[in-house]
Amino acid sequence: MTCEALINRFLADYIDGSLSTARKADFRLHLALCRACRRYVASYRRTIRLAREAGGSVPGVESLGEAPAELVEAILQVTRGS
Amino acid sequence: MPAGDTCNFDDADFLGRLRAGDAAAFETMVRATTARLLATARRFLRDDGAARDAVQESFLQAFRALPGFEGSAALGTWLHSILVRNCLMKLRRDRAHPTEQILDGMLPSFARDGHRRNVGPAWRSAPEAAITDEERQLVHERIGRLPEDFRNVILLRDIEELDTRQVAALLEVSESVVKTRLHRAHQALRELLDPSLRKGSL
Ligand SMILES: [Zn+2]
Repeated sequence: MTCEALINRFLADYIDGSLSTARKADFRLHLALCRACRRYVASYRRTIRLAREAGGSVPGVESLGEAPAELVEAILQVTRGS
Repeated sequence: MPAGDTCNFDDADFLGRLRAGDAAAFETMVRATTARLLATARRFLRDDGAARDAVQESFLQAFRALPGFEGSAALGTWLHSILVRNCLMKLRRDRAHPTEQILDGMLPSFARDGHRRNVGPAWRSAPEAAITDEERQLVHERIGRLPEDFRNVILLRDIEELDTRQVAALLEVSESVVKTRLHRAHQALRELLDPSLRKGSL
C-alpha cells in the first residue's frame, strides 16, 4: 500500500470501520512503518473531531446573540396579516 | 441536528396551541429559535440578507404547515430541516452552471511513486477538554473557504449531524458520492487548518 492509496482511498473506510480484514492489516502495517502517514491520519482524525465539535451547540449558544429585532418582527407579521 | 435549540416546547399543550394558530405560542417559538436558525442559514448561504430571507420564508412555511404537524420529530428539528432544505434549494437555484467543483491546492500531495513527499509538521497536542471558542471560530472560518459542494457536505454531516442517507437525499446524489465528497472535504479542511494547528503556531 502506498501513502497515496492509504490517504486517498482507504482512510475514510478505515475510520468508519468498513475496511476488509486483510486491507485493515495492510493499512496498519503501513501506518506502523510510515511516520508521514501517522501524522496525516492523526491530523485528519482531529479535523473530523473539530468539525463535529464546532457543530455542537452547548457552549456556543450565548455567542449567537439575540436574533435581529427587525427579522423577528417581519416573521411575526405572518400571524397578523394573512 | 445539534442539540440546544430545544427549549421545552415539545409538550402537548404548547404544540396544541401552535397547531391551533395561537399567535403567542408562535411568537414564543420564533423568539426561541430565530438566532440559531439564522446562524445555520448564514453558514450555508454566506450572505446575511439571503440568510434572513431563508429564515423568514421557513417560518412562513412552518406556520402554514403547523396545523398538520404531528410531532413525530421535535419541533426544533422540524424547523431546522425546513430551513436547511430552503438553503440548499436557494444555492441550487443560484448556481448558473453546476460545474464540478475542485479543491485546487487543498489536497495532500505525493511523490510520483505514491509516497508522501515529506513527513509534515505534527499538530500541537489536543487537550481532552471541549473545543474552545477560538477553535470553533477557526473551524467555521475554514469551512467557509471550501467550495460549496464540499462545504455543504461538511455542514450537513458534521455540523447538522445528518446521516449519509439523509444527506444523499437532500443533495440528490448517491450515498457513495456523499462519502467520497466528505472524505475530500475533510482532507481539504485538514489542509486549511494545518497552518494554524501545527506545533509552534499561535
Ligand atoms: Zn505512508
